[in-house]
Amino acid sequence: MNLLGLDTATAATVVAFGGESVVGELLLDHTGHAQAITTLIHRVLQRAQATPGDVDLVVVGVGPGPFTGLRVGVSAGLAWGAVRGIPVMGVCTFDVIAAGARRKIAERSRNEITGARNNSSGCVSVVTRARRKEIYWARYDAAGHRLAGPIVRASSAPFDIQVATDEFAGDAIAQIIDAGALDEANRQRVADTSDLSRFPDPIDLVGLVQQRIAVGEPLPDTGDFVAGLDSAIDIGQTTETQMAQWQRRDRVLLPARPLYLRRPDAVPMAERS
Amino acid sequence: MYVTAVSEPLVLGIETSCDETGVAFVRGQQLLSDVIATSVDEQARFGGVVPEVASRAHVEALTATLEQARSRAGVAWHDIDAIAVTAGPGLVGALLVGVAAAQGIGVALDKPVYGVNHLASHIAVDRLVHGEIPQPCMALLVSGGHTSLLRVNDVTQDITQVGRTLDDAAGEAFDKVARMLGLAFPGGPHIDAASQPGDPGYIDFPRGLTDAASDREHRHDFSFSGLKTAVSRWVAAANREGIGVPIADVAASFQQAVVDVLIMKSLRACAEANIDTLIIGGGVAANSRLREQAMRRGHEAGVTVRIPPAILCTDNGAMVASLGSALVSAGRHPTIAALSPDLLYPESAAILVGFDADSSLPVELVSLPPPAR
Ligand SMILES: [Zn+2]
Repeated sequence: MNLLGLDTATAATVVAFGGESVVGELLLDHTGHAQAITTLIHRVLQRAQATPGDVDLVVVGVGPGPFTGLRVGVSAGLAWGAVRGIPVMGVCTFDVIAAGARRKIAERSRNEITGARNNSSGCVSVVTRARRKEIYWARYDAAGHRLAGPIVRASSAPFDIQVATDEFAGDAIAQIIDAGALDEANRQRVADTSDLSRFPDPIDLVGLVQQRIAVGEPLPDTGDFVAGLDSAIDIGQTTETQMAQWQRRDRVLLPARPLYLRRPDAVPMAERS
Repeated sequence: MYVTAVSEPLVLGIETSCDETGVAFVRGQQLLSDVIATSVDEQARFGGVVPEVASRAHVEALTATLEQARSRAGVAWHDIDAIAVTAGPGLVGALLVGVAAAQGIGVALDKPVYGVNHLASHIAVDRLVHGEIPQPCMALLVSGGHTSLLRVNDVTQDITQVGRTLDDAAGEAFDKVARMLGLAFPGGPHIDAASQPGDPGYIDFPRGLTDAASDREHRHDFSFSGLKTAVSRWVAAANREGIGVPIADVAASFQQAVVDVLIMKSLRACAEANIDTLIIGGGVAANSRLREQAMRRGHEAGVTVRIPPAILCTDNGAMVASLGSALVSAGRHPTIAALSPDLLYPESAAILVGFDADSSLPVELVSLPPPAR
């Protein structure tokens, strides 16, 4: 199965083609995702010596991330699937970033005999900025499972990543932190302990998707669940059960819907005082 | 790169500049399908268009509108000659959904993509109803987002602005006055309906920029904020005096003031430029009073007035597909050419595709800005 991966949830535009091998492009450019995406897809297909018709599945990074950019990859992917008649699925962008971090940590422990970073356990936290003094945050255990998040929280909330839970006692956590995401007090307390990439790497995007397909779970119909969760988040009424269920959705592909995790900045007339 | 003109091209049009997700297919000048999903009911909850609400709705509606438009047109995806998409002006977040989708389709099917100007599309939609756009002609575009008087020398590449609103767009004035009168959003259709039994001469509201000084400096421009204030004052005074507000009469008088200025200035511009065709488009062109009076007064002035049916005046995919079809027929260069097998891409990051509107009319979105952070 050949897959085309698109992710525009971060400042990078990421395009990957996964077939016999992985071909990918990651472009970090501030002129915007919409200007880069066609060129990057062309380039990736050409390098893979593939044609659009060779793609069997489109997978889009569903975030979380700044909404406007995030929607570029999702929209391009959905449209591709519609006109080619192939499935379009989503993958949580933070899962891909965390997978990349684990891969690099593992490479280092193989390559380095000693060194400060060798005590890295593979536990990973990812923090990016969500504007409005908030951050997106998720945490992963050493096996790569998402233990918490992704959620939105105040950038000033006490920052408890390193000490939060017992399962992390004694473990070093690779913290992938967008420094601008935190408020001053938190910046003092926690440093970005990693030089790991804050962007989803094409290799990990393809790898994670192939792994999730290989696990044997069919492309799951999680649409209703995520739709329900999204509207619960929209009205600020997520239940504990929902959030717990959500955190377990780290072994399957998701529907190709952006993970907004919060409602638009607008107050309905009826709720205005 | 050589572009060959195709006669009767089959073009997919995508429009997401505001709160309508429009997808349509046009072959030559024939409209094959036109599907619109709108978030207007949701927007009404907020009393106006909220960009983020609109953008989310576009993503939700995308797949279904594409497939519905294709199946109604009875064509296969591979048969299309080109994709046209609104590149601006409009809400950036909303536009980007359509632009990204068009790019996805362009690469997936290996077809050229034309980024087009929204205002030029409002003019071009009339090809589908009344035949090729006369050269030259005058166009009055009135909606919630814009009020412009344009001279059209060639709808595919040469359009110049003759006049514009200095403050509110005409449709915006309708929305605001509707709110004053306790009518729902969007204001246009509600004021149109409420004014039916009313007397358009009941109150002599001001006609903006028609005095002698304005005639020199802003001869072809419009202004509706003074009118809006006048209505607001009138309503406040009526309430203060406890005489009650005759909604139908106020709505009819306000509407008449807007219609008078729009028609008078457009027909005068035609006469002065020796142009005998006026095309009216945009959401406000659905207004029954504007349609009826423009036809009558145009006839009296010896100007042929062309107004597409109301359904094609509001934002839709048909207008975009129609302009796309005109661009392909005229052999214009696409914004993004189809993938050619031997096309080499330089390795530098600076080769990004510029997404300009393929029309002489300036677009506010010449280069798509970086995403909001
Ligand atoms: Zn419009």
